[in-house]
Amino acid sequence: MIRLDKVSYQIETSAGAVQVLRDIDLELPDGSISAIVGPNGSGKTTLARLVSGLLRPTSGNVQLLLDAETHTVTDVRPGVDVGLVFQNPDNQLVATTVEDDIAFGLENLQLSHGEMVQRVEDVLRLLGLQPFRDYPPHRLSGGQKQKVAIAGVLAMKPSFLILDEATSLLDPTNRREVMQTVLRLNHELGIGVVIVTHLLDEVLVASRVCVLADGVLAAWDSPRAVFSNPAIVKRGELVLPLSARASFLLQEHWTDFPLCLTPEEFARATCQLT
Amino acid sequence: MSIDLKNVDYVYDSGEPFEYFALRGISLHIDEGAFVGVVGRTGSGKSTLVEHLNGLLFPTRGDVVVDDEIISNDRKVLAKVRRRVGIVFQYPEDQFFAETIFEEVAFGCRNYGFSKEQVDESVHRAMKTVGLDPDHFLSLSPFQLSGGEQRRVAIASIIAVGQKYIVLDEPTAGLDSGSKLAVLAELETLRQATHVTVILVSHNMDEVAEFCKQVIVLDDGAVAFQGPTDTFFSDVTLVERTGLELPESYRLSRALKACGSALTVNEASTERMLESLKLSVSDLGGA
Repeated sequence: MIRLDKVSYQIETSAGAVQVLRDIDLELPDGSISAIVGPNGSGKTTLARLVSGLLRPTSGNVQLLLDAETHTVTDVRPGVDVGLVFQNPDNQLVATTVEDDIAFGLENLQLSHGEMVQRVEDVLRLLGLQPFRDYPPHRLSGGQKQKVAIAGVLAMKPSFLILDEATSLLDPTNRREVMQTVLRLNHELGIGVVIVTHLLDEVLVASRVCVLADGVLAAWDSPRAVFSNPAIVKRGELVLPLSARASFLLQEHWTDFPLCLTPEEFARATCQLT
Repeated sequence: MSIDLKNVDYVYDSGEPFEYFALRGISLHIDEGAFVGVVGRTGSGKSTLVEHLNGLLFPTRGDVVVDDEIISNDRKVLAKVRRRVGIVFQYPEDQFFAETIFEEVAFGCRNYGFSKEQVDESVHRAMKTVGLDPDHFLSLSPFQLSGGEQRRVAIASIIAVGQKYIVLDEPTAGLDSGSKLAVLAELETLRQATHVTVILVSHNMDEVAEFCKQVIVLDDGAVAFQGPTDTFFSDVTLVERTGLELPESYRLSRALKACGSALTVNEASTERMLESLKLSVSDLGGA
């Protein structure tokens, strides 16, 4: 489990110190799926970097709990314990071919050649990137680059994977495929997943949602609990899914009409109206 | 006036081992003053197409015509075309370099030889268009803004030049839902006020349904559809074949029909859908 204990982060600017995050307490259990949402500038990316160990908190602790009984903790090793996929793949791609790019992180792990080749092979297959293995990454489309960036992180076999809007340039089909791959890794290998996102369907796969507003944790709850609480929706500047807005409209006439988050759920619920 | 592509092929590394047809036989027509969506799966050629619209790439075969000017690698032609077509690239804020937002937004105008007064006026107007108060923002560093504000500044720096055609490649990627809607609404207001043409490349079908009357669908480098957006989204088979998905309003309308609900809705946009739902509910005699 990754445990955040009273984590604060501040940066110095010419105008003085700016508090980006304040007193964040979070526990991310091994193998869990969580989402981080909130408006631009609320501290989502900073939180993702703190969880991944790329940034150190100004105060408080981010630790990996190794043994719950003995309370053995250790610092998070970036890349090894937690893999972070950035928003913009151009910030993450370094090599001259897709294959080399994926192998780049592995070269620091002192793996045998055979093991490296195997891992690169595995993630190429997993993300459907085999046809592009010899391509220069800069020649790929934005969405394809995002897949390569995800592949490079997955090859490190981290116990947590953080996607910081890592599917923003993918088309709907590819986005679904990448998300399904991530969910499969979560299911089969028990990789914990943290998704920083503005997209509703990515929020709905999470068991808990962390809503940030102005650097403070506004909520840490299930997606349904978050969307059914108007105060949290407002603070987190969340846009309600159309189905939820339609549900509220029907609740004006049928007070016990449920809050629906997807069109399918909404349609089923309307058919049960008498 | 319009932008027209006539049988355009674009081949990366022609004749080399990595030869790759990014565009094949593209013919299309974009009317001045339209709000047009360009959609298609990852790698379908959208960004390559965009780079043809102001001569960053030249067709391997075929012609790109902007207001009767055939784009060619001629300095005079290129200067003319680029004065008419502005492009906002993916994650444009990565290209920020100036110390203040004013300098950032003014850069393009100065390149086009605007006078000091014209620069001032264009910068102020562009900032207002994207919903940022010039008095508050212009003296700040672009690097101290939030992601949503940075994106708006990047868009302002193109709008300020005052081109007739503005192409935006995924302008809302990475923006929160509120900023996404706001940015597009600002572009729509600008279009109505100045008759500028907005060409929106997007993976977000909800925003395409909401803002684009016309849509161009690319599939594997070719045009799979070109026409009214609601016609495209009414053809589920085509939507799926091209790797796209239905907007939420269309999904909702279909789901209602599929389960035989007595409620019917207008799917063309979010607001219309909610309004029609209200009517449908009172028709049913909801208490």
